[in-house]
Parts: sequence; structure tokens; C-alpha cells
Amino acid sequence: MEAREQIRSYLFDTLIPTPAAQWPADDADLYEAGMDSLRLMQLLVFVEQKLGVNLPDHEVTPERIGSVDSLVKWISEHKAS
Amino acid sequence: MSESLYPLLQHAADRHGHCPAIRFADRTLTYRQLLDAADRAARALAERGAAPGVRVALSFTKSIDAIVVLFGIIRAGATYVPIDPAWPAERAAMIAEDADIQIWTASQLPAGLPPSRPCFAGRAANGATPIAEMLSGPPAVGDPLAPRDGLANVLFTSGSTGRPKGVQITTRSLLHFSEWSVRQFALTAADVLSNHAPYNFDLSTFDIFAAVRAGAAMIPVPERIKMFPYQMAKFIADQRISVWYSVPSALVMMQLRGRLGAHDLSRLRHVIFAGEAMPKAALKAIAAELPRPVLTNLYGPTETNVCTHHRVTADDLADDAPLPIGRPITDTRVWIVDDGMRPVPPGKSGELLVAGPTVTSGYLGDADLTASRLVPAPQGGVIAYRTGDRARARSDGVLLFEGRIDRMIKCRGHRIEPGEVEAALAKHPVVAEAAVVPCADPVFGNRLRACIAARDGGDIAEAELIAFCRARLPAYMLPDEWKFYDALPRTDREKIDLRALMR
Repeated sequence: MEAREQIRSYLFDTLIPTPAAQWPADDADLYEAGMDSLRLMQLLVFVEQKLGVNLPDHEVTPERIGSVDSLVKWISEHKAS
Repeated sequence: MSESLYPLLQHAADRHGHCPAIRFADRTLTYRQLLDAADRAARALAERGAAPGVRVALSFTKSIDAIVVLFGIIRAGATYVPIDPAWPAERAAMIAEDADIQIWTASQLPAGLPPSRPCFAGRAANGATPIAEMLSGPPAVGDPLAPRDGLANVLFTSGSTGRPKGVQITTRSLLHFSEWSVRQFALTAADVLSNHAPYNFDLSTFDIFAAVRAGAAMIPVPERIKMFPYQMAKFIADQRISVWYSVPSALVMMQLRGRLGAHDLSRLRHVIFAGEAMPKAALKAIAAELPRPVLTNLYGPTETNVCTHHRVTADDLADDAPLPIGRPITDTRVWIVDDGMRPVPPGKSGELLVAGPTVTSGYLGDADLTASRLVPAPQGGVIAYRTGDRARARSDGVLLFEGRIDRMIKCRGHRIEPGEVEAALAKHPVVAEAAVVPCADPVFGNRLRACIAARDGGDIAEAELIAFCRARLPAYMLPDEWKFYDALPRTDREKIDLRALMR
């Protein structure tokens, strides 16, 4: 599965369970969707353990976690290296 | 007694007029400017009916406006009732009704307010007076008024029946607590205090009233960085914060993901935490990265504000025993009692009772609940608050917290009555039975687990239940885990088997 799909499915099936018809668009605001401190910590663990991507602490910013798009872009920057 | 908190601000303006009172988003008010703005807010509020006996909603995100309006309300002798702007409209409306809110002040007015109420808001809409206009009018003159029944504010917390309950916090409580705080932490006008907790949290009374009493600077932490540990640690460094106060989970997050040790936190003198138990392993890790600041654990339910305190010692960091909640603050007495309200011998567990100036005067509009929680103390002919917390005294008199005698759960410092979440779930047509239990989380203390049995074997998606709860409960009360049953397990006595649900 592509990283984008894995992240979408983890976000909206597990982290912030959302009826399939109401899954936010990839550019929609994740804070509006229900992202909070507990879920952010779980998301970082998921990305590191399941996707095998290490994310530097100082790059965890409101902008990068803002939407599925920004999240995927950020993760892909670290996957390449 | 006719007391007001406003003289704390007037004295700060007299003695430290040119010192920064509050700094937020590149804007700073000195104490003289804060007093001037609060005087104007008080006049505008009084002209719209604010007076002793009147309750005013304070519904702001972290901002300078919030502090200006809060002191305006105090000067007018009214009582402020914080309403978190992130709460669902249904809950805000329920609280506004129970608190008999006469005037609204807000960053942004919630939808569906009673149209007749006077409103002041950061953004002009629905006939609200803009805050900027409120602050451009003439200032109030004369002495500040004392609130009726000494009520400074009412803090609404989770209620086990499904309706939030309003804890009455007195001016006397806040005067005493701020005086104790200034002395305990030797706060001065050179200090810079973080403002992390929302205004509906009792922790915010330290951030505001201890700061003002000392003439120290208040630094609200912007909402958008609160869940970002590295940004928060960097904020402490950039803002040169000298006293940090928050729930333990904010500190644990910064230790895990914020690279605490990598920032220049040399200004930090005190790190204070309260609201739930600080895990010992996390405390050791924090102390290792922050060797300089004094670490202090404060304890007390909203009803007692802070009633005991414990300064972390080298001994605490050497063992794995739970961190003590310490000893009572000045003029405060505690008892540990058995079921019959008799004091237990030292070393034995029992319910913790607290008497002292910081104890609540009761629950707003709920005499029965007040009478059941505020009871004659075992000694001294005083009234004590039954905390519902189990505690034990060490041989040296230091108190240890041992959990709850009821079902209340602490999550990220918020107190959650499972009954309130269960009542919301039970309104869903397909839910036959719902029970909410805690499950342990290494960072956040607890997570909430909802256990659901559907009606007639009906099918129900957790996503739908979450959306249903989101319209009724604040975000921190939303269950983090869901388990579905045909029927909830029962004990021999036919009660829901909560222990089984926690496994």
C-alpha cells in the first residue's frame, strides 16, 4: 500500500475513526478533524514503526501535521534519505 | 467580607507600572496599560449590567483580551464563568443556563446564544460589541466592587449525572492561594510565568493571580503549539520563561519529543505540575534533562484549588515509589478518614478531607451535592471538603495519593466522570448499555475506553458514535478506544463488571 493510503487509513480508521463517506479531503485541516496531543504522539509512533521513517523532533510543527497532504510530503522527504 | 482581587492589579500597576504584565503574539501590555484597559472593560461591562451577583461568561482562547476582560469583570464585582470556546454548543448552552449567564464575553461568540444578552466579542458579529470598542470607552472610577457571596469565579467540571457541575471559587481562596504561591516560589516582578492551562482549569488561577500579585509577566502559550512538544520547549526558551506550570502530560511530551535538554532553558527556576499523578519514570527523565529548576508537585481537586505541595527531592528521584503529594499549604488542614468519617491511624489508607481558605463554598445551585461534599471535619469545628481521593500518610507526615474512592478518571489533567460520557452515549438510539473505564497510558496517565452493547444486536460503527459524542462532549471526554459486546459482563451482584472491562 502506498504511504498516503496507509496514513489515511490509520488516521481515519484507527486514530480518528470517521464514517467512510465523511473522510476529510487530503488538503482538509486535521485539527478540525480531531487531531490532538494524544493522537499526534500515536501518529508519530505509527510512522516510525510501521512506515520505518524517522522524523526529527524539531520538524514536528503545526504546518507539517496540518493535513494529509502536508504530512505525506513531509514523510516522503525523509523516506528518500 | 468585602474583598476584591482587583487591588492585586492596582498594586502591581503602582509598583511595577512599566514592567510587562502580559506578552502574547508580539504584543505586550505593561501593568499600567493592563490596569487602564481593565478599567475601561469594567466600565463597559457595568453599563451593560455587570454587578455583584451577576455572572459573566468568559469564553476566550489564550489572549491578552481574555486577561483584560477577566479583570474588568472582577472590577465590576461580577463573577466570571470560563466557557472553553472549543466545547460543543450544547454543553456551553447547558452551562450558560445552569450558571444563569447574563453577559457574554468571547473571542468569538458561539452560535445560538439567547439574543437578549449583552455580548462583547473579539470579532464583531450577531450584534456583539467589539472588544476594541469596549476598550476605547471611558475607564471605571471609584473602588472596585466586591462580588456577592465572595464568588470570584465558577469553574465547571465533569458531573457524574451527565450535567457539568459548577465549583464556586471564592475571592478569599484566590487571595490566599496567590499569597502562598508568591512566598513559596519567591515570585518577583523579574519572573516570567507560562500560561498553559485553559481558563476553565483551576491551574490558570496560579498563572494569573500569582503573577499579578508578584508583578510578574504572564505568557499565554498559543493554542496551536500546545500539542507540539518541540515547539513548546522552544517557546519556553524564546520567551525566557522562569516559572512553568502545567499538567504532567505536557512535560512528559516535551521530555519524549521536545528535546528539552537541547534548548536554552537557563532562565527556568521552577517547574510545577498538577492535575494528575506524574509518573515516576517520566519525572526522573525530566529531572535528568532539567537539573537546575526546582520541581514541585501541587495537589488539589478544583474544589480545594491547591491544598498540598511537594518539592521533589533527590530521594524521590532515587526510588520508584509514587511521587508524594506532600504537605498542606499554609492554614490548611487535612484528615484521612475511614467510611465512618473517623481519622485512621498513620500509615493507613482512607479518604482525604481538606479544610482551609482555598476550599470551595459549594456547587452552584446544588445544595444537596454541596451538603454531601462539604461536611463537618473530624476535629476543630470546621467544614471540610471530601475529596473522594484515597490517601495515606507516610511516617514523616508526607501524604501519598492512592487513587479514587469513586470512578472519576484523570486524563491529561482533565477530570472525567465516566457517568457523564455514559449519559451522552446512552442517548444514542442503538446503544443499549455503555460503560466507560480507564486504561493506563505511559504518557497521558489514562486513556478512555468505551464499552458498548448495542440494542437488539444492532450494528453500530465506532465512527458514528464518535461523531455523536463530539456534538455533546468536550474533545478530552471522547473515548480513545472502543470495545463492543453483545451484553456487558456482570458481577455476581448483577452490576456491570468494570474490572473485567478494564482488562
